[in-house]
Amino acid sequence: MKSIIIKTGLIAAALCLSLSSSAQEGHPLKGSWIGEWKGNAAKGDFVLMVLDWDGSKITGVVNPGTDNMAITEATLNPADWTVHIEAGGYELDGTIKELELPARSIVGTWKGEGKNGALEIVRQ
Amino acid sequence: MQSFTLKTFIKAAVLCTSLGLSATQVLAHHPIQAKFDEASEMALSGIVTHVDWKNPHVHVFVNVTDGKTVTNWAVELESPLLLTGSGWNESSVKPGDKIDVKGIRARDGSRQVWSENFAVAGKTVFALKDTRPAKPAQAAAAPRGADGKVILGSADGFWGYPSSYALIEDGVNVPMDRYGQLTELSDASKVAPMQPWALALYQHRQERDLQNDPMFINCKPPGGPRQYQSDLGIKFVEDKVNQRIFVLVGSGNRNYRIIYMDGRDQVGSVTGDDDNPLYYGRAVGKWEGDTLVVNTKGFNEDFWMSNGGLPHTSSLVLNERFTRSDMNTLKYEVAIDDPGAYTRAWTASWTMQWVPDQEVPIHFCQDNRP
Repeated sequence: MKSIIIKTGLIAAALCLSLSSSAQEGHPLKGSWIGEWKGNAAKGDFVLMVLDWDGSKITGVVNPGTDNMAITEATLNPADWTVHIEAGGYELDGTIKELELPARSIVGTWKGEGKNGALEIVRQ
Repeated sequence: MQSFTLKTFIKAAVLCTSLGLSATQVLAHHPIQAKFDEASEMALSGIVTHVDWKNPHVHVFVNVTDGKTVTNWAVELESPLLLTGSGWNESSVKPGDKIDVKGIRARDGSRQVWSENFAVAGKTVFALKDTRPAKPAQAAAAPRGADGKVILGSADGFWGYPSSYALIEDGVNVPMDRYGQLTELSDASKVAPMQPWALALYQHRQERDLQNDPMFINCKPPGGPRQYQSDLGIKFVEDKVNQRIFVLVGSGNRNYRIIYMDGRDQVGSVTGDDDNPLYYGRAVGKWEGDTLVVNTKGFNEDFWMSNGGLPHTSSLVLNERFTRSDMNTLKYEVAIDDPGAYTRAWTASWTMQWVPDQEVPIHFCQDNRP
């Protein structure tokens, strides 16, 4: 029951936030990202990330709706805008799409706990 | 069922976001080169059907006849401010006039032309003059108040027409146009000491002809040094009783910036507060001789701090120096310290020209037409 309430809250937050993505003209990863890591039976499809940039490294959390997993490793390659994130035993790899838009997305893959699948998250 | 609902909601959210942005972009006022293709020159002749004399750009609609087919074209011209300054007005061209237009066509292939002049019965109208006021051969000394301090602003004019439209590190010579578009993209790394991500983002914006400039697309304020990079300029209002200097910004929806001169501490924060407007940061100033020295921090990351799209982060700290060296010249010097986007602190400088006997021009963004 608690899990459903948390997920419902996150969905509501996603819907409200998505009505107007906040501008972000600085580091392209900074901000809140919401979407799916599809086929993640252990955590559920829904995932929320909060990313920040302190001038030298990317920090933040990955939150599938049940707990926060601190990011232990994250890199952005500006040559092709590919992203690599590690948190809670998971590895996420993707590419920033529509970099110029506030509601840019990261499309790629996830793997962890012996599983893998597609990743798609959109900046809010 | 839960999974289906979840997916549906997420897709709906993404769709909402996408549609919202698309609508914004269609309605937006883009820099000229982003909307029109300089390599696509064209000429057309027709009958004026309507003149839309509004900021940010005037539009003249023209019926063009080709055989039995009549099509309506939109001819886009500079702002009413610039046209009025060049001697034209709303009645210079009227519905029913036959006009001959030379210009460049819209990149999207729509029936829109950007033109800087056209002709009625062979006589040129709407040609732009350089509205920059002539500098006197010998400038008078900077005016001073009863307290002996240099007066930065007065009621009978404003500062505009910068000597540079670009934010470039002092000592670097890189050609770019008035919108900050580089002549050569390969010069990007010379402009300022950017971190790799900032350089790549700057190049991406340049490659897209600055199409996503938030000042044009979303009417975001020209925060940071950008407020001093427009012909439309700024005006200082010194409130000595309350120890504040207001900077009225001509180019950004009549925004204003507050510089606190009362000796308060610098506590700028990106979360903002009553005296920390996020687009202009929290600015505290003091006089050093005839120079106003201003320290500003607490900027958000929702705007471009320069024409051309140099990135910044919330770590940005500006140290600015304003010196009225004579009646007609304001020297602007800025030290930019942003370890989030740059590899070291750097400086830039230019001058602005006194425009006498005029108020700061009225120029609202397209979404805020008066």
